[in-house]
Amino acid sequence: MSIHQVTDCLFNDLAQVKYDVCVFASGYEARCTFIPKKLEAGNIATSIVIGFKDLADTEPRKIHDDYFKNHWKSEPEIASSGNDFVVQSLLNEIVAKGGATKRILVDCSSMSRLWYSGILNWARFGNGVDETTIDFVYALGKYEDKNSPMIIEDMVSIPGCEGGALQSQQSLAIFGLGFNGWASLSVLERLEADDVFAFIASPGASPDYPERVRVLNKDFLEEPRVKHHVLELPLRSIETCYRFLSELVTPHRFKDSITLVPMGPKPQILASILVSMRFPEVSCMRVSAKRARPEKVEPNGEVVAVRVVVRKEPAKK
Amino acid sequence: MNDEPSVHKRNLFEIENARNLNPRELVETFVPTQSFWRLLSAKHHVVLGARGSGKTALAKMLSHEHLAMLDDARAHSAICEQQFIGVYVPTRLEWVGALKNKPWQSEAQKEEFFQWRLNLSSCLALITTLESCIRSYCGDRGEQARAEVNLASQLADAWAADKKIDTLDALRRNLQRVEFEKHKIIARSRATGDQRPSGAGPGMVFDCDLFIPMKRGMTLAAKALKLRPESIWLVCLDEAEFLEEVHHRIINSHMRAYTDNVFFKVTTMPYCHYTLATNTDVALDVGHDFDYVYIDSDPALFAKVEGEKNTMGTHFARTLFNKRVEASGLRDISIADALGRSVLLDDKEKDWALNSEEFELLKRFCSQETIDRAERLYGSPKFKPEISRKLHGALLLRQAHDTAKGRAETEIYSGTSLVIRCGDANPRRLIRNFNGLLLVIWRSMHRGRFAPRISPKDQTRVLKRLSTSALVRVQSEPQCGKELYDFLKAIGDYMHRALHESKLTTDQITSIIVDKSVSEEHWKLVQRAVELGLLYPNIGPQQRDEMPNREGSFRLGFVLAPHFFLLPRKGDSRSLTTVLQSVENADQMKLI
Repeated sequence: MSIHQVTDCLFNDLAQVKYDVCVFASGYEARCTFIPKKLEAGNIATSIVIGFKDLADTEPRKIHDDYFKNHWKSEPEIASSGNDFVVQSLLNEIVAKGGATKRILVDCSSMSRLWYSGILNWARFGNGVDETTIDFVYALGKYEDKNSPMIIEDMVSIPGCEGGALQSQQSLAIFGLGFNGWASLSVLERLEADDVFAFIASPGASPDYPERVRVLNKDFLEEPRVKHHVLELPLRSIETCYRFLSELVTPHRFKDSITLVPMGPKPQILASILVSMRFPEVSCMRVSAKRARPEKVEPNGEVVAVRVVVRKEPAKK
Repeated sequence: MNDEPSVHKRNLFEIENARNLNPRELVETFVPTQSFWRLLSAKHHVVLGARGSGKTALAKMLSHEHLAMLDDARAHSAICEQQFIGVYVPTRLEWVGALKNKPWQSEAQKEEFFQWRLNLSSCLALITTLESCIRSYCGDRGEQARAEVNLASQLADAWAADKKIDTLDALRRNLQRVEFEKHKIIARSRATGDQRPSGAGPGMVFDCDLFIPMKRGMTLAAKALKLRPESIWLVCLDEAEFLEEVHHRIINSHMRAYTDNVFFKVTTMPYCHYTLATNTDVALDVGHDFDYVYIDSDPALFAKVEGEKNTMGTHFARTLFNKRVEASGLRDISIADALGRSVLLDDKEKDWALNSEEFELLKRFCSQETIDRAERLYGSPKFKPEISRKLHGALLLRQAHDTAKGRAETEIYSGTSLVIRCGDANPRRLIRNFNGLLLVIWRSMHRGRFAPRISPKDQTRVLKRLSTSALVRVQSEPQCGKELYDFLKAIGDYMHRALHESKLTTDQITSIIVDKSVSEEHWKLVQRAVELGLLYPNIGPQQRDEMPNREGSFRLGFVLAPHFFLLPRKGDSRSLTTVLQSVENADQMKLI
C-alpha cells in the first residue's frame, strides 16, 4: 500500500519545516501566491514553479510569474493542466543533480489535480527513496456568488487512479459536489452507476457554502439513484475526508466497480485521489471543463494542510 | 396499495437504467421490440439510440446469461439449441477514461493499448458467459463443477494466467490483477522519465490482434463444453459512443473481415458511429458488411394496444409500467387509474357543437381562414379529422396559457396519454416520468392520505419540472453545452410564439427542416440534440434505420413540450433558417 499515512497538520507548524523541494503553481487566481508569501525561502532547498498554459498572457498571471521569478528565483515551467509529466521530469532532474527529495511541500491552492497526482505517482514509483513525506497545503478561497455554467470538455481517469477492469458487476459512484450542479448531473448521466453517494464540504470555506452547494445541486440530489443522506465532510480536515471515503468504499471493494468523481473543493479532490491510490480497484475521474470567463478566487486567509507519507511501490519481478 | 415496495424487491421505478438492474430484474422488466429480434441474428449490427433509449438493455439481453432467463419461445430455442451465445462487453465511461488519460501515447501506442485492454476485457466478459453456458449445458452440479475445472485450467493456460487456476472466478480475479499491474508499470515508467512508455509487461498474451484471445477462449469452450459447431457467438460491445474514431476503425476492421461464427453488435448513440473506415483500404459497406438498427424508430415503441377503443398511451409504455409494477412487488397501481385521461390528447366522446366552448375558442384564437373552413365543414364527416381533432389540444393549451399568465400553475399537462407522449418512447424518460408521478402518491400516503389518482395539477407540476430539467442540464454537455442549450431554446421559443402569439391554423409547428445549406456548427448541434433525444428525425418506415445527413426534418422532443408550453403532437415544420432568423429579429426588437 503506497499511501502509508494521511495526517492533518497546522500550516503554522509547517512554516518552519525544512523542505528538500517545494512545488508551486502560477496561475490566474490571486491565491496562487498567498502561501508562497508566507514561507521562508531559506527553509526550502529547491523550488519548482509550474505555470498554466492557459491564460498565460493575462495581467494577473504576469504579476504572479514575476513574483515567482523575483522571490523564488524560479521561472515557471509551462504545462497544460492535463500534463503530469512536466512536474515528474522536474523532480527527476533534481534527483539527477543529486538533490534530496525526501520531504516535499506542495501548494495545491491553484494547481491542476493532475500535477499533484503526478507528484504522488512520482513518489509511488519514481523517487529514489523508499518513503517520501509530502505536505500539501491549500489556501481557502472566496468564490463569487454567481458561477457561469461549467461546460465539460472531457472525463478521464486520473493517472494512477484507473481502477479495475470493468465487468458487468454493480457499480457505485461517489460524487463530491461543488458549485456546478448541471455538470455533476451530466457526468452522472454518463456514468449510469447503480448506486450513487454524494458528499459535500461541510463545514465549508464559508458558513453558507453547504447550503449553496445543496441548492445548486438540487436536481442531482433528487435523482432517484442518489442516496438521500448526503455525506458532510469537513473541508478543513483532509484526514477525516480520506478516512470517511475509505470507510465508504471498503465494503464495496472486490464486488462493485467504484468510481470517485470529486467535483468540489481541492482538499476533497486530494482526499479522493489518495483513496483511489490506496485501493487500486477504485477509480478516480477528472472532469475537465471550461467556463465562459475564468473565476476570480481570492484567498480568505485560511490554510488547510495535510501530511501524506508515500511508500514506494515495489517493482514486480 | 403498498406504500413501500416489499423488502425483497427494489422499487424499480427508481432505477431508470438497464445497467442498474440485476439480471433477474432486467429480464422481468424487459419489453422485447422488433429491434431486439433483429439483433438475434448472424449479422453484424451497429445499434443507434438516443441516451436512455434502451441500448444497454438490448445488448445485455442478448447475452447468454440474460437470454437464458427470458420467458419467450424464440429465446428458449436460441439457448436450448445453442443457436446464439451472446457475450456482453461494456465499454463504460470509466473504462474509456483510463484509455484517454494517456495523451502522451502515439497513435500506434494508443491502438496497441486499446487492443490490449479490450482483449482483456472481452476475455473477462467471456468468463461470465461461459459460467452461464456451464449452468445451461452441463447437467448436474457435479458435472458442472468438473466442466468448470477443466475449462478454467485450459483458459488459464491459453491466457497465460496462473496454471493452478481451477475456477472461472479465480481466473477472473487473476485477469483483473494483470490489469492493475499493467497500469502500475505504465505509471512507473512515466514517473522515471520515460515520456512514451511502451506499456509492455504482464498479460503479453493480450498484446495481439483484437479479439484473438477471446476467440481462442471460445474455441476452447466449444470443445470443452461440447457446444454445437454451428453455434453463433454474438459479441455485444456496449456504449461505443465513449470510444474514439481510431477505436471504431479497429472494430470496423473486424466487421469487414471474415469472422467465422462471431458477429458483433455495437451499441452507440445516433451519429456516434464515428467512421466507416477500416484498417484496410476498403471501408465498411452499410447493408453488406453490417446494418444499422435505429432503435428510436422501432414501430413496436409507438404501437397502440390492439382492440382497445380510445387507447391511452402506447402498448410499449403501458407494458413497461406494468412490468415494473409487478417486478417491484407493488400492488393495485394502474396507470390509467393513477393518471386518468388527457384533456389535451384524448378524443372527446362527442364532437363540438356550434355554440360549444371549443367553437368559441376557435373563433377567439384561429385565423379567419381556419374559422371559415371550420364553419364550412361543420356537420360533415370531415369536421372531426380536419378541424376538431387537429385543433382541440392547441385551443385548450392556448386558453390554459392565457389563463395561467400571472398565476403559478396549470393542470393541462396531465393524463396517461400525455405522460407517455412526453416520454418520447424512451424507456429512461418514461420511467423517470412514472417515478416522478408515483412519488406524489407515496408522499401523500406518508401524510396519511389515500390518493390513488394524482391530481392534474400535480402531474403538470412534475412534468414541467422534468421538462425544464431535461433542457437546462444540456448546458453542461461536453464541448457545446451552452450553444446547444441556446439552440434548443431558440427552437422551442419559436414554436411557443407560433402557438401562443399568432392566429392558429390546423397545424402547429413542432419540427424544423434542415437543408444542405446548414452551417457546420448548426448541423453539429442538430446531431448532438438527436444523440440526447431532444430532437428526433422524422423518418418514414422504409428508411427507419437511416440517419439523415445534413438534410431532413426533425421534431422537437415531446419531453420539452411542458417547458415551452407546446402541444406534444407531430405537426407542421419550419426551416431552421427561418427559426433562427426569427430569433435574431426578436433579439433585435428587444434591443430596440
